[in-house]
Amino acid sequence: MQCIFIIPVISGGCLTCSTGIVRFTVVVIILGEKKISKGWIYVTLTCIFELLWIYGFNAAENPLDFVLIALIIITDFYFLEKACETIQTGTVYAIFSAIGTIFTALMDTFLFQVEFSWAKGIFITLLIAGVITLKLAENSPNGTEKEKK
Amino acid sequence: MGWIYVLIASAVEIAGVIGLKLFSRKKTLLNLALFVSGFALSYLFLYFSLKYLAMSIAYAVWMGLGTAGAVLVNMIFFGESKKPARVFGVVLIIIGVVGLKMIS
Repeated sequence: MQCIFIIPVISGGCLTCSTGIVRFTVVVIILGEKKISKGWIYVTLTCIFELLWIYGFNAAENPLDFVLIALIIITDFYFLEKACETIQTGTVYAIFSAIGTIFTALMDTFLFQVEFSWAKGIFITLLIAGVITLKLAENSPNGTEKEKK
Repeated sequence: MGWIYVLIASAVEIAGVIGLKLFSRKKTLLNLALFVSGFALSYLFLYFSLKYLAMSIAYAVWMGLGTAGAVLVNMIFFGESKKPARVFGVVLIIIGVVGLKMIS
């Protein structure tokens, strides 16, 4: 039950990672690598859905769009939780927050014609380096070696 | 104005994180409400901020402050580890946020 205390940083939101990580340890022991590769598919999906709602926030025009965005966010949460079942929560969050930040910068520059400046790029990089540091520090030291990057 | 919205979004997100933590310990309706409304309002205020701020800045600051804030709350109020890596991460985020505020 110590696991519940490992999870607390939830940015962007992982609903049930706390229970996920309890199961994670068990599942990894039982199923080994097979489950882990499945976990990475969920990581990819959660990244894609994260980008979808962010894009939606910029593109939404009518009430129906917002219903769709709410559904996308809920789906995002679901995949995030599934990913956290097999991969350490800190790792999942580090990856998806980095991907989210990099792609919002790219979307800004190429889709929405926002001017890119080096100063902005550097400060965003510093910020996300901080987020990744914190997320990875969340991982329990006795986590499996397999998903260490 | 955009910055104020991002700050509010991060603050209510931290409230949501506290709600989730309390809810995972004690399943009361109040804790659940704090958790759900915290996250829901967080997305709402992030949306408002996009009217004024570039998406890349709003998203990065929201993500950064939410993460750093939750870590600080956990260190201060829930007695979690204060290991150097965590303090370093919070410092990096603060430098990033202050820098972005200064150039925009």
